[in-house]
Amino acid sequence: MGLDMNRRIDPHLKRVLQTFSRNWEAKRAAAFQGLDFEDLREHLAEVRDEALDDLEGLLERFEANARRRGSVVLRAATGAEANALVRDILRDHGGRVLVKTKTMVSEETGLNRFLSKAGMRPRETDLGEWIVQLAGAAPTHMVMPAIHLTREGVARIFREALGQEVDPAIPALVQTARRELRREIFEARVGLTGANALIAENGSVMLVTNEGNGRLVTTVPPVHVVLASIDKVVGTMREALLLLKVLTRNATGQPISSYVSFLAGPHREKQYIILLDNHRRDALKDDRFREMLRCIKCSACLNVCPVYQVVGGERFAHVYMGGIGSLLTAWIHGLERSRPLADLCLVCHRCEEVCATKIGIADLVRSLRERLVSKRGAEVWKDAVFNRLMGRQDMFQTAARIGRFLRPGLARKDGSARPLPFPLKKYDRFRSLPAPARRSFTKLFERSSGREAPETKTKEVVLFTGCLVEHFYPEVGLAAVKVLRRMGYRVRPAPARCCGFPSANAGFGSAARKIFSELVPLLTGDSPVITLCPTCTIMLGRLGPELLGTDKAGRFGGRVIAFSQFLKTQRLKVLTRLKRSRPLQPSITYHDSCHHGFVLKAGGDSREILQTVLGIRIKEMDRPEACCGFAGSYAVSYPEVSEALLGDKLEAIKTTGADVVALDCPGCLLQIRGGCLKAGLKVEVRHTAELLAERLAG
Amino acid sequence: MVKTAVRPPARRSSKRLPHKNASGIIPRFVVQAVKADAEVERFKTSAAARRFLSRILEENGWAKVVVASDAARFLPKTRGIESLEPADPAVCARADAGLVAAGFGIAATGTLVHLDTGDRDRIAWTLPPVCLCFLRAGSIVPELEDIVDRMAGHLRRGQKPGFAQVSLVTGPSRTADIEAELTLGVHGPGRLIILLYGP
Repeated sequence: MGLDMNRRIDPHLKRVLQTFSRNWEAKRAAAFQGLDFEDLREHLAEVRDEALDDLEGLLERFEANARRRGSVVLRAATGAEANALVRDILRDHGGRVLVKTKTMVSEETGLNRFLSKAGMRPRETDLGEWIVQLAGAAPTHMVMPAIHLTREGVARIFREALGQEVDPAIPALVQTARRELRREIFEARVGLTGANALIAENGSVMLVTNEGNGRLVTTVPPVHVVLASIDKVVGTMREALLLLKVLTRNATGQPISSYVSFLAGPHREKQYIILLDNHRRDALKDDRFREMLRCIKCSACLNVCPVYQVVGGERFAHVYMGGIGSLLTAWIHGLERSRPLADLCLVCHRCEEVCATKIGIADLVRSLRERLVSKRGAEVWKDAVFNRLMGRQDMFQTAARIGRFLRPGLARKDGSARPLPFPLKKYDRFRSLPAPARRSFTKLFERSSGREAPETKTKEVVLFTGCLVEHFYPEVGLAAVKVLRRMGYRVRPAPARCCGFPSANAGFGSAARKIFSELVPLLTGDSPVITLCPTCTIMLGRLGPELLGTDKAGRFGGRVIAFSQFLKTQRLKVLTRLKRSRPLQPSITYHDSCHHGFVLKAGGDSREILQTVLGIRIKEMDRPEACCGFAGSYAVSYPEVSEALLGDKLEAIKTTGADVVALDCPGCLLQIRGGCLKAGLKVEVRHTAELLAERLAG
Repeated sequence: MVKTAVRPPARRSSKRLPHKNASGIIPRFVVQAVKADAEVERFKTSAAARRFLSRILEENGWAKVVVASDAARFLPKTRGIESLEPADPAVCARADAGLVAAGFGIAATGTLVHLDTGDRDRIAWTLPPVCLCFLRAGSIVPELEDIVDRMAGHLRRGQKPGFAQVSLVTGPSRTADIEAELTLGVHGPGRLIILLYGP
């Protein structure tokens, strides 16, 4: 439950991970130059799916071919079985020392701990893994496990663990590692590796490294053990090369790693290949979640994850890290263990942009949350708000009315809410919360309609404002109405109801379905449904219809369009009607909301509208697409992460020197405006609709 | 990123690299290999390459050389060179350099490909701090996919008990595990010198 609420963010770790991510982004872009990433990953996704479809057949063929070469192939149903097999192999070959290359599967089974308890010495040979092993710590990153340590820190670890005084200079440290690890490798009789692929057509194992430890571990000790999960199998060499092509570019931005080996058969005394299931066959049977088994463990998703970059791998992991980690953990280590990870995920969709096999990670995390709630229950406050309260829209609207009634006691002059009392201080320590608006948008619209001339326009649009605009920022709704009317449309506001996304996102599937199904009949007709919040857009347009799974809802979904995207379709005469000759004074920067930018892909549209209609150039901030940290109730569950992300965003805004931040999401509006107020930053935060309306006279 | 080699590099050959091949895959190979921190020396003939090898061994005082089975013919007949067979890893780890030969080169990534049937030659490639690799220019192909059938065939060969391996080597051994700063030569060689010979 609220276990992590008081966790502190380590600014050094954040800086290291964010710097690493930026460098990685540049290298990755260079590595994919001249190649079509979308095409490659589409192809690779197909290859992985086909392999999963024919898993048993491929495994049989792999086994047969490996056996023909003299390898011993063993099947392990569970992690415990795999560990026992490795221990027995060590015993059979009279060895105590096991040297290992980096393999996530051995971490998944807890092999090192198991062998140590059995009186054996498992030794990591990957430099980062070895350092972390000496320190008795958890890895921070899947590819760079010790990235959080400084050279002085590493020297200290060597001093304590090895009893050696080493100059805290990187060449000296690496030289020490080379010497120490070679000693271990020469002593060992058994070397263990994972496999990046198991190739069925020839029973060979593909290993990808940069350090060369894979080569040493499979050359020097006379016995080689491969520990691989069954989902690593592919049919042919060609398919393995495709995987390789994407893997190294996506993982480290390298066209190819220093060493790629295809090993077939025992190199000296023996080769054992342990094929581990560990609930993967269970996952395969699940139509919804089997997609996650396409994962090739490249960790590109981690490198774009805003949360991971703030908290690191020690926190955002059980064994597997990040959003994909939550999915794998749910099956391999159990539903309950996946909960902290599923909750930490922002569901921002960034990972999907870079995933090597096009796994729909964000939607799967949402589905996982649904499963967690239905099988394991939810936190009490979440159940109260997203299930019981929002599930009853009439109650929800009443609660809003009560909030408005209490406004005089809650609000300050600037419209923000009074600071929260202790013990709720942590929720508005870093951002001022808004007070409810004096009147709802619906009420204000009714009042203003009376003063309008009788409607002569024939074209109608429905305006779905969403909860934040309805209850907190009605001025945004009114601005949108003004713009739409000026463009010649009759505006019909949708009844003030929640779209159901907060409930869906928190895992309350039945509440979300109820809310959405009640909403659908209220939005019948043919008119476009214009939204002011990208989250509502996604819910109305795609997620809601998917939840209901009915044809009718799907047709309705096709009418939903975000405000900026709607304006983009209204070119030529209609847009120029909005242009005014008065030049705009303030300088404007733009913030890309996660849903607006990564899901609707509308960041370009918004910029174009603003620049064309206002006659300005957007003054871009550093990383405009970086998450502001709002993410709905996320800021309540993880205030320290929300605060860290908001801090970076405010810094970027401040650096532009802009007077105004434009955006298209009321949630981001709340977060960024609240942050500016708290930080004393004199920047106006405005929805695109407001900026356009301000340009119209009258 | 700052690059630090574990051992300081020796004086390089001052020969310019000729671009004889019309299709450009040889220059492409050279550019990519150098990008991956390999050193490439270009020669018209294998004899010229062997003469260079003699010199470089002497200049650096590399007296103990582990010689892979398919590279034995490249070993210069120079006094003062102790050639070791890639047998005892502990002995070979104390060698100064490894002498090896690659079966193919991949232009797209500057990669060396060697196809092994025994596992001993890998000792020459991996254990000494310097790896000297002979590569015939005519065996360079544009992309890895161009030799996929050769690779697959090698691994499928015989279908009887035995060992087969295909290794792809691109540049020296590297890590950026400490402070994301690139260092060459962690487990494998810190220097990979490619002697590219032939038309």
